[in-house]
Amino acid sequence: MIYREAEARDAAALAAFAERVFVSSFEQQVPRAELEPVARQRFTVERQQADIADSASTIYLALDREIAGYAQVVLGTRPKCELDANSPAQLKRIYVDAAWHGHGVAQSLFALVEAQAREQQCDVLWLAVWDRNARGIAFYEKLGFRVIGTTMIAVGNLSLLHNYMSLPLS
Amino acid sequence: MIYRKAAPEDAEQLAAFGARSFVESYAHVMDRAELEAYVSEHYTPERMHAEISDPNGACFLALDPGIVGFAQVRAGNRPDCRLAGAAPAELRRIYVEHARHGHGVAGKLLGMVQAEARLRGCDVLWLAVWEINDRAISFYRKNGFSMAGRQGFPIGNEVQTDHVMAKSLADELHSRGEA
Repeated sequence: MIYREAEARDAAALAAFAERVFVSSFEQQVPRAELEPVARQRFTVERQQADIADSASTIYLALDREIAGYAQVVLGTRPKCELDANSPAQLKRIYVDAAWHGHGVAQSLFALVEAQAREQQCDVLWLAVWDRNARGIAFYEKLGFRVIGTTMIAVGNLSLLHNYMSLPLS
Repeated sequence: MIYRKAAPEDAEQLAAFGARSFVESYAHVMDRAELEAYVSEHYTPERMHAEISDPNGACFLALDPGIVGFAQVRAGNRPDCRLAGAAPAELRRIYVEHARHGHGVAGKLLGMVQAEARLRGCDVLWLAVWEINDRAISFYRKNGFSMAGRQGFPIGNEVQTDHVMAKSLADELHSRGEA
Protein backbone atom coordinates (compact mmCIF):
# COMPACT_ATOMS: atom_id res chain seq x y z
CA MET A 1 0.00 0.00 0.00
CA ILE A 2 1.31 3.46 -0.83
CA TYR A 3 -0.01 6.77 0.43
CA ARG A 4 0.19 10.05 -1.44
CA GLU A 5 -1.68 13.27 -2.11
CA ALA A 6 -4.28 13.09 -4.86
CA GLU A 7 -3.48 14.88 -8.12
CA ALA A 8 -5.70 16.11 -10.96
CA ARG A 9 -5.22 12.86 -12.87
CA ASP A 10 -6.82 10.92 -9.96
CA ALA A 11 -10.20 12.69 -10.18
CA ALA A 12 -12.06 10.09 -12.26
CA ALA A 13 -10.84 7.10 -10.24
CA LEU A 14 -11.55 8.94 -7.02
CA ALA A 15 -15.11 9.80 -8.08
CA ALA A 16 -15.84 6.18 -9.00
CA PHE A 17 -14.30 4.87 -5.79
CA ALA A 18 -16.13 7.33 -3.52
CA GLU A 19 -19.49 6.67 -5.20
CA ARG A 20 -19.06 2.91 -4.81
CA VAL A 21 -17.91 3.01 -1.19
CA PHE A 22 -20.57 5.54 -0.17
CA VAL A 23 -23.35 3.32 -1.51
CA SER A 24 -21.91 0.05 -0.19
CA SER A 25 -21.29 1.54 3.26
CA PHE A 26 -24.88 2.56 3.83
CA GLU A 27 -27.01 0.28 1.62
CA GLN A 28 -27.94 -1.94 4.55
CA GLN A 29 -29.41 1.02 6.38
CA VAL A 30 -30.67 3.29 3.60
CA PRO A 31 -32.46 2.14 0.43
CA ARG A 32 -30.21 2.18 -2.63
CA ALA A 33 -32.84 4.27 -4.40
CA GLU A 34 -32.08 7.05 -1.91
CA LEU A 35 -28.31 6.57 -1.89
CA GLU A 36 -27.50 6.25 -5.56
CA PRO A 37 -28.70 9.66 -6.77
CA VAL A 38 -26.94 11.31 -3.81
CA ALA A 39 -23.72 9.45 -4.55
CA ARG A 40 -23.84 10.33 -8.25
CA GLN A 41 -24.40 13.97 -7.45
CA ARG A 42 -21.79 14.19 -4.68
CA PHE A 43 -19.02 12.30 -6.39
CA THR A 44 -18.82 13.69 -9.90
CA VAL A 45 -15.44 13.86 -11.58
CA GLU A 46 -15.82 17.65 -11.72
CA ARG A 47 -16.30 17.91 -7.96
CA GLN A 48 -13.29 15.71 -7.30
CA GLN A 49 -11.24 17.86 -9.68
CA ALA A 50 -12.37 20.99 -7.86
CA ASP A 51 -11.59 19.48 -4.44
CA ILE A 52 -8.15 18.33 -5.58
CA ALA A 53 -7.40 21.81 -6.98
CA ASP A 54 -8.73 23.63 -3.88
CA SER A 55 -5.78 24.98 -1.90
CA ALA A 56 -7.74 24.74 1.38
CA SER A 57 -8.37 21.03 0.81
CA THR A 58 -5.96 18.10 0.81
CA ILE A 59 -6.88 14.58 -0.29
CA TYR A 60 -4.72 11.59 0.62
CA LEU A 61 -5.03 8.34 -1.29
CA ALA A 62 -4.22 4.82 -0.18
CA LEU A 63 -3.28 2.88 -3.30
CA ASP A 64 -2.70 -0.77 -3.92
CA ARG A 65 -2.48 -0.29 -7.68
CA GLU A 66 -6.08 0.94 -7.44
CA ILE A 67 -7.55 3.26 -4.82
CA ALA A 68 -8.19 1.37 -1.58
CA GLY A 69 -9.11 4.39 0.49
CA TYR A 70 -8.91 8.14 0.78
CA ALA A 71 -9.24 10.94 3.27
CA GLN A 72 -9.95 14.63 2.77
CA VAL A 73 -9.11 17.45 5.15
CA VAL A 74 -10.37 21.01 4.65
CA LEU A 75 -8.88 24.01 6.43
CA GLY A 76 -10.91 26.84 7.87
CA THR A 77 -14.45 25.42 7.83
CA ARG A 78 -16.55 25.31 11.00
CA PRO A 79 -19.46 23.17 12.19
CA LYS A 80 -22.84 24.75 12.89
CA CYS A 81 -22.26 24.40 16.61
CA GLU A 82 -19.93 25.88 19.20
CA LEU A 83 -16.30 24.92 18.50
CA ASP A 84 -13.45 25.97 20.74
CA ALA A 85 -10.87 26.54 18.01
CA ASN A 86 -8.82 29.39 16.59
CA SER A 87 -7.87 27.52 13.45
CA PRO A 88 -10.10 24.49 12.82
CA ALA A 89 -9.70 21.84 10.15
CA GLN A 90 -12.46 19.50 9.01
CA LEU A 91 -11.94 15.81 8.42
CA LYS A 92 -14.42 15.84 5.57
CA ARG A 93 -14.20 12.22 4.45
CA ILE A 94 -12.35 9.05 5.23
CA TYR A 95 -13.41 6.07 3.12
CA VAL A 96 -11.77 2.66 2.96
CA ASP A 97 -12.83 -0.20 0.70
CA ALA A 98 -14.48 -2.92 2.81
CA ALA A 99 -11.92 -5.41 1.47
CA TRP A 100 -9.23 -3.40 3.27
CA HIS A 101 -11.00 -2.91 6.59
CA GLY A 102 -8.91 -4.09 9.53
CA HIS A 103 -5.56 -3.46 7.86
CA GLY A 104 -4.84 -0.06 9.34
CA VAL A 105 -5.55 1.85 6.14
CA ALA A 106 -7.95 4.30 7.81
CA GLN A 107 -5.46 4.80 10.66
CA SER A 108 -2.67 5.62 8.20
CA LEU A 109 -4.88 8.00 6.23
CA PHE A 110 -5.90 9.70 9.47
CA ALA A 111 -2.23 9.98 10.46
CA LEU A 112 -1.57 11.96 7.28
CA VAL A 113 -4.62 14.17 7.87
CA GLU A 114 -3.61 14.90 11.45
CA ALA A 115 -0.02 15.66 10.46
CA GLN A 116 -1.21 17.99 7.69
CA ALA A 117 -3.55 19.82 10.10
CA ARG A 118 -0.75 20.25 12.62
CA GLU A 119 1.61 21.40 9.89
CA GLN A 120 -0.95 24.06 8.93
CA GLN A 121 -1.07 25.21 12.59
CA CYS A 122 -4.63 23.99 13.10
CA ASP A 123 -5.62 23.51 16.73
CA VAL A 124 -8.74 21.36 16.33
CA LEU A 125 -9.97 18.69 13.92
CA TRP A 126 -13.74 18.31 13.60
CA LEU A 127 -16.10 16.16 11.58
CA ALA A 128 -19.77 15.30 11.07
CA VAL A 129 -20.78 11.63 11.18
CA TRP A 130 -24.23 10.05 10.79
CA ASP A 131 -25.40 8.97 14.25
CA ARG A 132 -26.15 5.45 12.94
CA ASN A 133 -22.65 4.99 11.51
CA ALA A 134 -21.51 2.97 14.51
CA ARG A 135 -18.29 1.80 12.86
CA GLY A 136 -17.27 5.35 12.01
CA ILE A 137 -18.14 6.71 15.44
CA ALA A 138 -16.16 3.95 17.19
CA PHE A 139 -13.16 4.64 14.97
CA TYR A 140 -13.26 8.37 15.74
CA GLU A 141 -13.75 7.80 19.47
CA LYS A 142 -10.70 5.55 19.54
CA LEU A 143 -8.70 8.37 17.98
CA GLY A 144 -9.88 10.68 20.76
CA PHE A 145 -12.75 12.51 19.04
CA ARG A 146 -15.68 13.46 21.27
CA VAL A 147 -19.22 14.51 20.36
CA ILE A 148 -19.69 18.28 20.59
CA GLY A 149 -23.10 18.73 18.97
CA THR A 150 -25.64 17.45 16.47
CA THR A 151 -27.13 18.62 13.21
CA MET A 152 -29.58 17.41 10.58
CA ILE A 153 -28.00 16.81 7.16
CA ALA A 154 -30.08 16.21 4.04
CA VAL A 155 -29.17 13.03 2.17
CA GLY A 156 -31.44 13.04 -0.86
CA ASN A 157 -35.01 13.12 0.46
CA LEU A 158 -33.93 12.07 3.93
CA SER A 159 -32.90 14.29 6.78
CA LEU A 160 -30.39 12.41 8.91
CA LEU A 161 -29.17 13.19 12.40
CA HIS A 162 -25.39 13.69 12.42
CA ASN A 163 -23.02 14.08 15.33
CA TYR A 164 -20.35 16.73 15.31
CA MET A 165 -17.15 15.41 16.85
CA SER A 166 -13.91 17.24 17.59
CA LEU A 167 -10.33 16.47 18.57
CA PRO A 168 -7.97 19.09 19.99
CA LEU A 169 -4.50 18.95 18.39
CA SER A 170 -2.47 21.13 20.74
CA MET B 1 5.67 12.54 -2.14
CA ILE B 2 4.76 8.93 -1.55
CA TYR B 3 4.63 7.29 1.87
CA ARG B 4 4.81 3.53 2.25
CA LYS B 5 6.22 0.74 4.37
CA ALA B 6 9.70 -0.36 3.41
CA ALA B 7 10.14 -3.78 1.80
CA PRO B 8 13.30 -5.92 1.99
CA GLU B 9 14.30 -4.79 -1.51
CA ASP B 10 14.60 -1.22 -0.18
CA ALA B 11 17.46 -2.25 2.14
CA GLU B 12 20.31 -1.05 -0.04
CA GLN B 13 18.86 2.36 -0.81
CA LEU B 14 17.80 2.78 2.81
CA ALA B 15 21.28 1.93 4.10
CA ALA B 16 22.83 4.54 1.81
CA PHE B 17 20.24 7.16 2.77
CA GLY B 18 20.50 6.34 6.47
CA ALA B 19 24.29 6.60 6.41
CA ARG B 20 24.15 9.91 4.54
CA SER B 21 21.54 11.31 6.94
CA PHE B 22 23.46 10.26 10.02
CA VAL B 23 26.65 11.88 8.74
CA GLU B 24 24.74 15.00 7.66
CA SER B 25 23.15 15.30 11.11
CA TYR B 26 26.22 14.71 13.25
CA ALA B 27 29.29 15.69 11.19
CA HIS B 28 29.53 19.07 12.93
CA VAL B 29 29.46 17.65 16.44
CA MET B 30 31.17 14.26 16.21
CA ASP B 31 34.60 12.94 15.46
CA ARG B 32 34.80 11.88 11.81
CA ALA B 33 36.38 8.47 12.50
CA GLU B 34 33.79 7.61 15.15
CA LEU B 35 31.03 8.73 12.86
CA GLU B 36 32.25 6.52 10.04
CA ALA B 37 32.77 3.55 12.31
CA TYR B 38 29.22 3.89 13.60
CA VAL B 39 27.73 4.24 10.16
CA SER B 40 29.62 1.33 8.65
CA GLU B 41 28.41 -0.88 11.48
CA HIS B 42 24.77 0.24 11.70
CA TYR B 43 23.82 1.27 8.18
CA THR B 44 24.76 -1.79 6.15
CA PRO B 45 22.30 -3.22 3.60
CA GLU B 46 22.33 -6.50 5.56
CA ARG B 47 21.40 -4.79 8.79
CA MET B 48 18.68 -2.70 7.14
CA HIS B 49 17.36 -5.84 5.47
CA ALA B 50 17.13 -7.55 8.86
CA GLU B 51 15.43 -4.54 10.45
CA ILE B 52 12.90 -4.23 7.62
CA SER B 53 12.12 -7.95 7.93
CA ASP B 54 11.82 -7.85 11.74
CA PRO B 55 8.23 -8.90 12.56
CA ASN B 56 8.21 -6.60 15.61
CA GLY B 57 9.36 -3.59 13.62
CA ALA B 58 8.16 -1.40 10.80
CA CYS B 59 9.95 1.10 8.62
CA PHE B 60 8.17 3.87 6.73
CA LEU B 61 9.64 5.65 3.73
CA ALA B 62 8.97 9.07 2.22
CA LEU B 63 9.85 8.89 -1.48
CA ASP B 64 10.17 11.56 -4.21
CA PRO B 65 11.09 9.49 -6.17
CA GLY B 66 14.09 8.21 -4.17
CA ILE B 67 14.12 8.09 -0.37
CA VAL B 68 13.93 11.57 1.19
CA GLY B 69 12.99 10.45 4.69
CA PHE B 70 12.33 7.40 6.80
CA ALA B 71 11.13 6.37 10.25
CA GLN B 72 11.54 3.11 12.13
CA VAL B 73 9.45 1.81 15.01
CA ARG B 74 9.84 -1.36 17.04
CA ALA B 75 7.25 -2.81 19.39
CA GLY B 76 8.48 -4.23 22.68
CA ASN B 77 11.65 -2.14 23.07
CA ARG B 78 12.04 -0.47 26.47
CA PRO B 79 14.20 2.46 27.56
CA ASP B 80 16.57 2.31 30.54
CA CYS B 81 14.29 4.62 32.50
CA ARG B 82 10.81 3.96 33.87
CA LEU B 83 7.92 4.40 31.49
CA ALA B 84 4.17 4.70 32.08
CA GLY B 85 2.56 2.06 29.90
CA ALA B 86 2.49 -1.71 29.66
CA ALA B 87 3.18 -2.10 25.94
CA PRO B 88 5.86 0.30 24.71
CA ALA B 89 7.05 0.88 21.17
CA GLU B 90 10.26 2.70 20.34
CA LEU B 91 10.52 5.31 17.62
CA ARG B 92 14.05 4.18 16.74
CA ARG B 93 14.85 6.64 13.99
CA ILE B 94 13.28 9.43 12.04
CA TYR B 95 15.32 11.27 9.44
CA VAL B 96 14.33 13.68 6.72
CA GLU B 97 16.91 15.12 4.33
CA HIS B 98 17.77 18.78 4.96
CA ALA B 99 16.36 19.97 1.64
CA ARG B 100 12.93 18.69 2.72
CA HIS B 101 12.85 20.14 6.22
CA GLY B 102 9.83 22.33 6.91
CA HIS B 103 7.51 20.54 4.50
CA GLY B 104 5.74 18.31 7.00
CA VAL B 105 7.51 15.11 5.98
CA ALA B 106 8.67 14.21 9.50
CA GLY B 107 5.21 14.88 10.92
CA LYS B 108 3.64 12.52 8.40
CA LEU B 109 6.21 9.80 9.06
CA LEU B 110 5.63 10.20 12.80
CA GLY B 111 1.88 9.96 12.24
CA MET B 112 2.29 6.69 10.38
CA VAL B 113 4.55 5.33 13.13
CA GLN B 114 1.92 6.19 15.75
CA ALA B 115 -0.81 4.50 13.71
CA GLU B 116 1.37 1.40 13.35
CA ALA B 117 2.17 1.30 17.08
CA ARG B 118 -1.53 1.59 17.97
CA LEU B 119 -2.41 -1.18 15.54
CA ARG B 120 0.11 -3.39 17.31
CA GLY B 121 -1.61 -2.71 20.62
CA CYS B 122 1.13 -0.48 22.02
CA ASP B 123 0.07 2.09 24.59
CA VAL B 124 3.16 4.29 24.72
CA LEU B 125 5.60 5.51 22.09
CA TRP B 126 9.05 6.51 23.31
CA LEU B 127 12.31 7.67 21.80
CA ALA B 128 15.83 8.61 22.79
CA VAL B 129 17.16 11.91 21.46
CA TRP B 130 20.59 13.42 21.99
CA GLU B 131 20.26 16.11 24.64
CA ILE B 132 21.80 18.81 22.41
CA ASN B 133 19.46 18.15 19.47
CA ASP B 134 17.17 21.11 20.12
CA ARG B 135 15.46 20.97 16.74
CA ALA B 136 14.38 17.37 17.26
CA ILE B 137 13.36 17.92 20.89
CA SER B 138 11.07 20.81 19.93
CA PHE B 139 9.58 18.75 17.09
CA TYR B 140 8.76 15.93 19.52
CA ARG B 141 7.31 18.34 22.10
CA LYS B 142 5.11 19.91 19.44
CA ASN B 143 3.84 16.43 18.63
CA GLY B 144 2.87 15.58 22.19
CA PHE B 145 5.99 13.92 23.61
CA SER B 146 7.30 14.85 27.04
CA MET B 147 10.48 14.09 28.97
CA ALA B 148 10.51 10.68 30.66
CA GLY B 149 14.15 10.30 31.71
CA ARG B 150 17.67 9.85 30.41
CA GLN B 151 19.85 7.09 29.10
CA GLY B 152 23.34 6.69 27.69
CA PHE B 153 24.18 6.31 24.01
CA PRO B 154 27.59 4.68 23.54
CA ILE B 155 29.41 5.88 20.44
CA GLY B 156 33.11 5.22 19.95
CA ASN B 157 34.83 5.60 23.31
CA GLU B 158 32.25 8.04 24.60
CA VAL B 159 28.83 7.73 26.11
CA GLN B 160 26.53 10.57 25.15
CA THR B 161 23.45 11.44 27.18
CA ASP B 162 20.10 11.02 25.49
CA HIS B 163 16.77 12.35 26.70
CA VAL B 164 14.06 9.74 26.73
CA MET B 165 10.75 11.25 25.60
CA ALA B 166 7.41 9.48 25.63
CA LYS B 167 3.85 9.92 24.44
CA SER B 168 0.82 7.94 25.55
CA LEU B 169 -1.07 6.22 22.75
CA ALA B 170 -3.69 4.54 24.90
CA ASP B 171 -5.61 7.36 26.43
CA GLU B 172 -5.79 10.03 23.75
CA LEU B 173 -8.13 12.13 25.82
CA HIS B 174 -5.68 12.24 28.69
CA SER B 175 -2.56 12.72 26.58
CA ARG B 176 -4.23 15.58 24.78
CA GLY B 177 -4.55 17.41 28.05
CA GLU B 178 -8.29 17.30 28.59
CA ALA B 179 -9.87 16.77 31.96
